Amino acid sequence: METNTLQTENSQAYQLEFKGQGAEYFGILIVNAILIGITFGIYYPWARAKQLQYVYSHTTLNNESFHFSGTGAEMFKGFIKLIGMYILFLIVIVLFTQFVGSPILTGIIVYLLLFAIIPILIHGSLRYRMSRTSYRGIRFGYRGDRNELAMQFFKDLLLSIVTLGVYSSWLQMNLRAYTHRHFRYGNVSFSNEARGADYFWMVLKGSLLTLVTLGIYSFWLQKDIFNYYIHNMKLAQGDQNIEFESTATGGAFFKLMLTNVLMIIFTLGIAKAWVDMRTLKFVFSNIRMKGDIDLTAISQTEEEYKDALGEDAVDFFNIDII
Amino acid sequence: MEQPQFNGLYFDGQSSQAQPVTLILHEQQQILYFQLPSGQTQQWDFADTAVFDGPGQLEIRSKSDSAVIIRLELSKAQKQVIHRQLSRNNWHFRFAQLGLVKIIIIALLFFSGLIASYFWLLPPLAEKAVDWLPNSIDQQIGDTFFASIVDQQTIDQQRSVALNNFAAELKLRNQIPLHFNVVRSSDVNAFALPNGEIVVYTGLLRHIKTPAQLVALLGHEVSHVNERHSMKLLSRNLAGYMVISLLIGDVSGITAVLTDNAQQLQQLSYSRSNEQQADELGFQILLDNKQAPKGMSELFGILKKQEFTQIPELLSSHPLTNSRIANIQKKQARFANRQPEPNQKLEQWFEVLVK
Repeated sequence: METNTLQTENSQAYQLEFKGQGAEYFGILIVNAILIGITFGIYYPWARAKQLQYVYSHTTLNNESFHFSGTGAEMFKGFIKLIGMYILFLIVIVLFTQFVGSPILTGIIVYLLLFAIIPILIHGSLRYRMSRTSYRGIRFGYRGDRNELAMQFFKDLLLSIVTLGVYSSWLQMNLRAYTHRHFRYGNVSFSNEARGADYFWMVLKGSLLTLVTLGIYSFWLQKDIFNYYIHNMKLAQGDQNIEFESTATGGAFFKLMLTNVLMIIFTLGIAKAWVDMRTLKFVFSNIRMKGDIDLTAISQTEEEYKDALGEDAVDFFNIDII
Repeated sequence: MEQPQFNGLYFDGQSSQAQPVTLILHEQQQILYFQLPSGQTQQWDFADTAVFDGPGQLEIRSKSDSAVIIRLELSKAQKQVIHRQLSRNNWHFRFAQLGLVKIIIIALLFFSGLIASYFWLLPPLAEKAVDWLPNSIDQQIGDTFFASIVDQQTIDQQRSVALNNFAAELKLRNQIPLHFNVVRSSDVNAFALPNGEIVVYTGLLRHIKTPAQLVALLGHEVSHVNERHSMKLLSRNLAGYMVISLLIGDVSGITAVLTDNAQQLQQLSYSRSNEQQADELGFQILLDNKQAPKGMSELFGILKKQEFTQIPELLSSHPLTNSRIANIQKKQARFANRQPEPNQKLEQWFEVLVK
């Protein structure tokens, strides 16, 4: 491992690693699959908890692992609520169609409703996921305000529609910056300086180069985006800080993705477990942390939040947030 | 008995500071206890703990507060000792403990059970489900697709009127109103839709020589309607598709099955037992109307003969198996000496039809 050359007197050493192994992870996935089959799907939330627990507990910082304390029971309850809401949603749509009788208007209303719940789901999901994540017994947390997030989201969404999608870069980065700024790890707060303009030009340039190079540049674009994300994260505790840098290169991204695709194709998907593990290993081994926050002197500040509705919904709709 | 001891670190859930502890598992009392550097001792019930595997380490967490952790650095064998004690109530762990061979056997049993119920349990259940559906659904499905199946241009109006009049003279045991159509086509075919629309092609009518044979044909088709066979078939196909789509996670295909099936309603292949039931009930209708019992086997004879010259659609969709013929001949033998009663009106309408 590379050592920090910019050591100040209080600077700490941080080492982020992912220690998951394909074979172990495969074992978990296969047992999950069988239990989901035997229970006709009811085991799914427990399977998901098991899977998340494995990934979290095999992510270590200074040899100490992270922990996901969400349970299958919590996510099952959330799922029941989700089904209930879905049925309610369908009833509203059916009634609405009966009264209005215009399929186009109904379609518009359905889309508006769906968009309207996105920020609510993101908020709920982050609160759950963060409060159920811990490190050294100290919980993470999300302190964002739901209405504030929703207002920002709708404003950006409207601008994205008006600008025919151009503004969606701002939408994504504003969402990222807002949510990250409200993350906590005990009494450590997060910040994020991601800006729509930076992202927009980066993606525009990258996409043009991808076209010119017949797709080859896409791996370097991936690298740029990844590095931008990592570079913009910061942690602060009082006047102490931790900064993040990425060491990922376009070539390494190219190698990772090419091998992943080949592994999936030649094993007919069975290698998915190994692919997931090596991808996470790649991600975590390419993050460098620098700073002077003492990780053994953090105090608990965040409360537990056990409502998994948002988490389930985000999983259900396949929305990637973190 | 010696109690297993382990050295580890304790996180109190208040700060990220670690404290060294020695953990003792007390199997008989189902309690683990440890002493903190401050001298304070704590004890946890096995039942109140959850164990989490990590790389080269194991975390024991209190269920009441997941932020309180005892972290142990352990070998694989040591991990097993703790797991066996503390993970007893964990499904996943207990299942994984069964070993690879048993897990594979369970998986195979499960999947063969699934396949068996798909073929033998699902169809009768799906047919049963039709009993709970209101008749208005049969009506809707039939109405929607009658128009798309039967081209109004090809309907022989005169003969259709005659056929309806012919049928009006019969007791057909129907619960819903029936409507009969004669369609000009060289195909040797007839079919029934769930809304009570019954279609007979002139290609088949041409071969029918006696009113009894026609009553046998109508009796057979009407019985499909009376017994809601198309709905049962639709329900069976749909149930089968729903199971498959659940397995592969594609729900949008269900509507496709609905429309697909309905479009082909006239050439659907009913199950063998449904066909046999329609034969038997058709034969009953033949008897109810005091027609010659041999009408049914004569009808089968006509269809069988067609099998050699061309493959009639009626046969491809209602396969005329030898067992069906044998079944009807057996029934017929019992009524061999029953004399048919001539019906003047029936004869008249029949004349118009075959003219």
